[in-house]
Amino acid sequence: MQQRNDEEPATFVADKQILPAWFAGIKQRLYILKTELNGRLHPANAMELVGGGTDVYVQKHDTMKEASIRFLLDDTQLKDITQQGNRCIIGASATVTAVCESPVMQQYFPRLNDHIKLVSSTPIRNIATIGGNLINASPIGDFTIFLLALDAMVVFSNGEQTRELPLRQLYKDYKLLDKQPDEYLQSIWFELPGANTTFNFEKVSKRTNLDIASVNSAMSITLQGDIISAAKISAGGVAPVPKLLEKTSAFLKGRPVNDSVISEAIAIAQTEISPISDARGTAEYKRLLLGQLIKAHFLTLFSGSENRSVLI
Amino acid sequence: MLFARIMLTLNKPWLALIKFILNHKDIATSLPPGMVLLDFVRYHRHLTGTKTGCNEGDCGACTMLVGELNNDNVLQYRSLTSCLTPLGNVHGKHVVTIEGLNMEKLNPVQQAMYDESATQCGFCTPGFVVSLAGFCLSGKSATTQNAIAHIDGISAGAPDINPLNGLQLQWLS
Repeated sequence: MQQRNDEEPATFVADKQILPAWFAGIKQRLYILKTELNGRLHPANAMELVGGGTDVYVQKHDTMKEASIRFLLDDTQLKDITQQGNRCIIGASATVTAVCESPVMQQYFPRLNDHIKLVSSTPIRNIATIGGNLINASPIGDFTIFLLALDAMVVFSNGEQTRELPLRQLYKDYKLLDKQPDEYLQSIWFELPGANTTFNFEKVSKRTNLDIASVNSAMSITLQGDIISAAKISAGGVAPVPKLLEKTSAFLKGRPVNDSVISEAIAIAQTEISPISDARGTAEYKRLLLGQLIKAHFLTLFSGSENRSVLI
Repeated sequence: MLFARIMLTLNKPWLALIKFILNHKDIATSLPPGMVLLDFVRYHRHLTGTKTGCNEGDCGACTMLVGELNNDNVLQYRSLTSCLTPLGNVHGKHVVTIEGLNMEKLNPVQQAMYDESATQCGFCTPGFVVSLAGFCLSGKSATTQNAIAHIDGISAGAPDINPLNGLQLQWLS
């Protein structure tokens, strides 16, 4: 495939008899179809909003068939991923793949590809939306945890007005959202990491790939010299809601990165969480995991430094 | 009968016509947009090469490709789990199933699966072949690493038990 130069992949595979010859004509047919179709499917009385469908079709596979649905996946108003100043704005219908491939995310999160490998699988990432991940409100939503550590803001619309609130305030209780029935998620935005800020995402699940987290966590941390000037640590699977560890994060501010500070931060984190025993592990095990993931954040981001004996 | 059908349609404005290309055929259907693509393909088009496994997006046996023209008029194919994809989400797109990859002889992906004895129980083999065809359509460089990344949606393709680890990719160049 290296020799194909700029040839359209569908034409190349047809020419080389890798796939049937008719693949070469699909682009023209799709173009005609696209121009022929007028508008999207937007029933006025839609009862369900569907993005990629990867959560909603697992939860109510049989009833969705007859539901009146507003399809959001191809809503061009909700798909953009843009940078405005030092803000990154992600449309609620942007897929995980789109976020992963976007130039702005690639630039500011150099290890994004490694993080994304921990999130579901290629066919799911190709259709699962960021907005769907947030609104599904799973306590272990990978991108929810990712965005909580960036202290993201969510923007709701009811078609007439918009309302903004911090993601950390969205979740009231298990799957209970600060969201009105007529509101839908329009976009998510956050401040892009500055030069002194680094970010890490960790996840432990029963299988290495393609699994739901037992515990996941993200950390965004800013250093001024040797001192932490800002930190945000989020944790999933340890409470009824995906959680920003506000006390732990506040504790780290103004402190250096060393063994005792990390140990104390982990101890404080233990007071902020309330894991339950379930199929993904006992409460005690999840407490242990969160501590280890916090260590992993520091180990990953500061492994070149000295005095990391607590991490070994 | 026809009248009753028309009235039914009028009473249910969401029974919009969905149009897309399935393999090389044009499709226009007024079946509910909420019906999943997998059920449409298997039970209404009788293309049963795509398998129903877990119905939760986990196993990858139902993997199909969907091509669409993006805003820059580039045709881009992605794999997806058809068991979780409503028909409404493929409106205006090109859907490719395992049947759509068949040529007179085995295509190179199928031939490589055969040569390497790379099927296990065989149930998710269509998912492997479709995912690898998606890799051929992706425009990514022909490395084993990239090929393996494209089959990460199939449970049986997990790196530790992957039958394709030794797969040779000469046929891609």
